[in-house]
Amino acid sequence: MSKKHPWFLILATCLFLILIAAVSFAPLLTSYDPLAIRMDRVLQPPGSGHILGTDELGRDVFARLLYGGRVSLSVGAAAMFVSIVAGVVYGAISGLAGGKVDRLMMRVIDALLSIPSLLLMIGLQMVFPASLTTVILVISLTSWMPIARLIRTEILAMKQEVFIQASTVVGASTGQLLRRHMLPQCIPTITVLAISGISHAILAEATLSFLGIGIPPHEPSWGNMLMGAQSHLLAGAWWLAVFPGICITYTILVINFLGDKLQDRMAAPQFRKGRENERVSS
Amino acid sequence: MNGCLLEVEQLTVSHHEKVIVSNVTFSVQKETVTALIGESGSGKSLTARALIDLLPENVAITSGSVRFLGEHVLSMNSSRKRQYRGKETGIVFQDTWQTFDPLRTIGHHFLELFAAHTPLSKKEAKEEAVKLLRQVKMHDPERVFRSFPHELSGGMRQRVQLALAIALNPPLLIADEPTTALDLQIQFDILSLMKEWQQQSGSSVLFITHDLGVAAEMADEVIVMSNGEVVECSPAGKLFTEPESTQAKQLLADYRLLSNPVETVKQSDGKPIMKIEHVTKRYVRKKWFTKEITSAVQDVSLYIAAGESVGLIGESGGGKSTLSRLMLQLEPCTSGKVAWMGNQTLRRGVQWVHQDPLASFDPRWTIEKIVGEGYDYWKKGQEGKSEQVLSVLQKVGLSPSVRFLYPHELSGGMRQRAALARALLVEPELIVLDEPFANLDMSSQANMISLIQSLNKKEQLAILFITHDIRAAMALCQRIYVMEKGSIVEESAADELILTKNPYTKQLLSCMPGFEVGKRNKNKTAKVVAYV
Repeated sequence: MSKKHPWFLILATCLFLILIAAVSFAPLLTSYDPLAIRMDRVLQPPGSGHILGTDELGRDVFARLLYGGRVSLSVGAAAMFVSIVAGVVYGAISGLAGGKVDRLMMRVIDALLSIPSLLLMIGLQMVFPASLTTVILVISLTSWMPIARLIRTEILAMKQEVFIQASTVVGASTGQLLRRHMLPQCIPTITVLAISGISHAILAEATLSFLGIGIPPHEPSWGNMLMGAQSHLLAGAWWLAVFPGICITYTILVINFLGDKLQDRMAAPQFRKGRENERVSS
Repeated sequence: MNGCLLEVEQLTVSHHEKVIVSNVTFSVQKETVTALIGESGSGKSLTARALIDLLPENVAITSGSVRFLGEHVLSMNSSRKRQYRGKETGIVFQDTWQTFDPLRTIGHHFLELFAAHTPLSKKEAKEEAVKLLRQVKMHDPERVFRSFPHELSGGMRQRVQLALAIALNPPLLIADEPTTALDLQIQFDILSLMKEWQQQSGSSVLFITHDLGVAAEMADEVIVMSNGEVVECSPAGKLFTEPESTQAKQLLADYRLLSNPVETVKQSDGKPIMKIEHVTKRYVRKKWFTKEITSAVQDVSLYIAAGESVGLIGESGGGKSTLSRLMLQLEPCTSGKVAWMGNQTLRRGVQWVHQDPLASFDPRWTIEKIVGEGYDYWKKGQEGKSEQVLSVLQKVGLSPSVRFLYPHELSGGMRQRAALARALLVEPELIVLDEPFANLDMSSQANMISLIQSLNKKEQLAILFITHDIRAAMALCQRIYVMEKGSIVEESAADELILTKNPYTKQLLSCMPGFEVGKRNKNKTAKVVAYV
């Protein structure tokens, strides 16, 4: 069987890199300041000097999109990272400990999960001042629980696996078992969780900003651009909503494609596509 | 002879360009049992699947013909083919798990079969199904009818499979290693059921197996396959007395190695290294208000001396594996004591080879990493690790190139060797082999037995060999413990086991396939008994 060329992976990676590059080199791509207010150029449609038009305060939409992408992507990545770390650590401890400790730790998660996450986010935002760090913390604080639960289940099931017992017999300690066998087995799960975590975080940031409690309104982010757009949509300023919307959709799609391909790479050797599953006879 | 039921001519099966089965020609006569034997990977199962034109994806019949009562199977149209597969052939697979729909009851499987091929009403179909289940000696067939596949044991599922296969009284029953995964007692039951049905109905059976003992027990005609080719086709009596091909001779030699007790020193003079005293293990399952207690191991005492090979036999579910886990201290005992070398901690000193080597390897690791794992825990530093790994691999007879492969890329026999290599690397004094041959064909079993014997002799390695296969235990061990329902019922030297008075041991012995070869056709193969 000929190995299928991973063009899809390359395409997804390219699209992702384009996104990152566009956001990082924002000053090179546009000469406009995303914060500069020009009351003489309010709500200009795309074209006329501004590629994607201007908003209700005359700010360049393209510039705001690029700079806003920085916020959205960093919120996505950071919130995902924090919640994965918290979830894996909590889940691993709970799964390894088992018994009463496990039960107690899971009930804590149940309790936290029973609070609607949006409500929790809004509540936390009330207490802490609005800033990038707060948004990241708030999003990760509300999204690590399902991760912890999944990891705990995996570890719990894996404790019964024969190869874990076999390693115990060869002499591995609990720490070594966790580091060398259990966590690597969880990598596919963690990849999937990380991917959906990024998407979730970007959307959550958009939601928060849309509700007006996320990133401070003057700073651009895809979410608060969308929020700003709603009052002008009826007036016919479609470009204010459409372009941030496209950006969010594009990012999440690209990340999901990438995750899908990565997951295949991370899978245990026998499940990898393309690798010849041929047995060697003696 | 009563004429041909199935004729296979020049059958060639290929996977892409690679020929797997080439130019196979044989026939199955009416009212006979034909055995198809050979090592695993010799193309037996694919041949059988080709007979009903049910090959896996990417595998195709490239030339040759299959004729069933004169009719070409391969050129049947699809509805005729369905009828042929369903009504005129019955199939029993080795795997009793994947052949059932886990969401449907056993009864549903029967009803579906009758609905597809007979005009029976639902009620009649149920009666018929219960009758069939009774015919395969199920206790309480009504309950089985209502059960889901997971509620039955492996042996019971195999009986249900047999009942399903013979439900429409097909002229041909194809049985693909139907008893390989089962213990000897159940194997014996299933084989006798099959024989009984075959004789009553006058049908033919094509029996695929790697076990010469089973073939000897069942077959009138034997076809030997090797590397995708038929190397010998002869009546059973002849094959066991004067085999012609080298492959058949090799199989016979392997079989004899397995079935004959070795002449070893009867008692080793070493001191006991592992001592188990009055060990009991109970599992408690708490329900809402009640406790369900199952005793897996009851008051077991045994010892293993340095350099000794000890067998532990008994049927599946008898607590053997639980006992091994207790010895390895993977689980605590409910009461009693496991003492290692007086009172030392036992890690490293006792190693383990599990019945399913694939499950006992981390699927993400290469063989080198797996085998070398013990080195990371017991030796300081990494220098010398790869040489050490190479030398154990050599010791178990694996080529050095194997170390770059992943476990799933090895064959069953090689995996088991790798598992043994991992255990040997940390230089243990005792190795616990838990059903190490359960998934191996007869030739690999014979190879493993000689390997383990030589290790036992050369390295003064003590061995605890846990198995349901009384043949293998007698071939490998000096002393044998017999375990029934969690307790040890007999202890005996291997070569004296045959003279046992214990009823349970006697029963185990009588289930040994080929133990009384040709009981069925005594006149025809009287010689075989003497020979094998």
